[in-house]
Amino acid sequence: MSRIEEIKQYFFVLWELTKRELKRKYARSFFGILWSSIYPLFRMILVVLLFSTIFDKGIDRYPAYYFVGFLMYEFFITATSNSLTTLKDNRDLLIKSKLPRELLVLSRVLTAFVNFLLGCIPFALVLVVYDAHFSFYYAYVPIILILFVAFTAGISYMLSIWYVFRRDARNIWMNFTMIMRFFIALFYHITWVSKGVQAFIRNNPIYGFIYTCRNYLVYGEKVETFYLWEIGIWTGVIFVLGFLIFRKYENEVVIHL
Amino acid sequence: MMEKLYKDFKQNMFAIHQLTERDKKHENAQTFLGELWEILNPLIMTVVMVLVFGKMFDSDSIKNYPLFVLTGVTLYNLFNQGTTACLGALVGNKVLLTKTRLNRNIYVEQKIIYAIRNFVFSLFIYFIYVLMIHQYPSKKWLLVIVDLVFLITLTIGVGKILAVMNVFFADIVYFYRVFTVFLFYGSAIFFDSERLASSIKGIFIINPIYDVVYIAREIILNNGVVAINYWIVLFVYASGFFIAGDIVYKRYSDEVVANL
Repeated sequence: MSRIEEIKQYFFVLWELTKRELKRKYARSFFGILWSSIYPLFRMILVVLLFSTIFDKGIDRYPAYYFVGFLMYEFFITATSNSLTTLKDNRDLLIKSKLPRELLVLSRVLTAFVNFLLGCIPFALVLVVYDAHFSFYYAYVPIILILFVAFTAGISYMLSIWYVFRRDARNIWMNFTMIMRFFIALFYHITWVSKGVQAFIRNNPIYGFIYTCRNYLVYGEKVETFYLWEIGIWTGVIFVLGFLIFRKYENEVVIHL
Repeated sequence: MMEKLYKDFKQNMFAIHQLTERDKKHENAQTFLGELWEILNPLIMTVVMVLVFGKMFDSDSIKNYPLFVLTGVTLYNLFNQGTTACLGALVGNKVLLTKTRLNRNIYVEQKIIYAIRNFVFSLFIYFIYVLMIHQYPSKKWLLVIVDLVFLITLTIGVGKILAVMNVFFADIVYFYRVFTVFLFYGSAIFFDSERLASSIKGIFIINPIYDVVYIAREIILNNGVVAINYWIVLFVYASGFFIAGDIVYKRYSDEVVANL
């Protein structure tokens, strides 16, 4: 089989697995796919109502400001927390087939990404309504998003292995992401917190991703090269590290399932 | 008569104890770290909130921001943990429900008692902090106990309804999680509702959790008197949900068993 054939097959299987996940996800839910679009909008309205009055300092185009970060972080949480249990959930498939195992993790990340894209539909509307600055920076956004998916996949690889060894990994991760939510300057401006916390947020790669996308999409501004390096290096390190860890343990893990 | 009552009580307590022990052994359930987290959660959340919002609300009307937040989170947590645990009260006890004749209230009571236990541990932390900042308890604090009784009554009522709903409509777990996020914002845990635009401010009182938090804060932080309407609203919610929960639970528990 030629190399190209192989790659084609790889992506075919990945897509089939993703479709399976999507079907499963929406088969159980009452509101189905619609929910993916509506829920972010609800959250935005709530936050805007509350915070536009509490924080009188104000942020330019606040609903759009919030929406970018919310969608991206929600993608991160959904992808990682769903990937966490992948190996356990697919026990039979793992034992009985010779499927490259990382595909199972990737398919969950992709499922979350499809969900994210659905959330982008109302977001586009918000961008128009709040008069976002449309510029050539929009062309960079897909690149940043691909890096973000790779970063998320790297974390997901590690988590899926971790969960096999620690049964409370899910709880720990849920709580961790809940706390992290406050350290990515999601609904406030970074300059409103103290210097120490500011430094912490700046060095948080998730903030880097959100900040960059936000600047490109909402304000049409370039970002400091610091953030581009931050994004690039973190993505590279996490993705490679995650993949290596996954490869190292994927066989051992099957015994523990 | 008394003896029989006492025997029933002892039996029920034994069952509750066994259920809790089983919960701990269950695969996805609590580990030591998880339990510790539930107890420390209010403290950790307070540290986070103070770090993030401390500077923003620095020069504001809030007298003691850490205590302000800690009070809110501790109370909110009792409700959140209690009701969320109740979601699994019936669904998680399928075998026992169909095969034993245990008093069915036990399944909900066990979850609530567990939440209260964690809450009591959190209270220790709370009082250590209170003493550290020399905020000594006064007689008025007895009113907070009444406040707590209402909160627990409300938690039981809502918990029972959720337990039944989860049997017929499994999506409720997901929706309830979303709801609790909204509730967290809507209970003014980390901001002062006084600062909000007057059009929104008035809405908060219809949220019973906000009332619980507000009453406790007024008494503990400001040593103040709480307007009677807060008490009335809270009382109506607590008794309403308690009675409704009881009726729903009794009425549907047979159907529930058939459905499981």
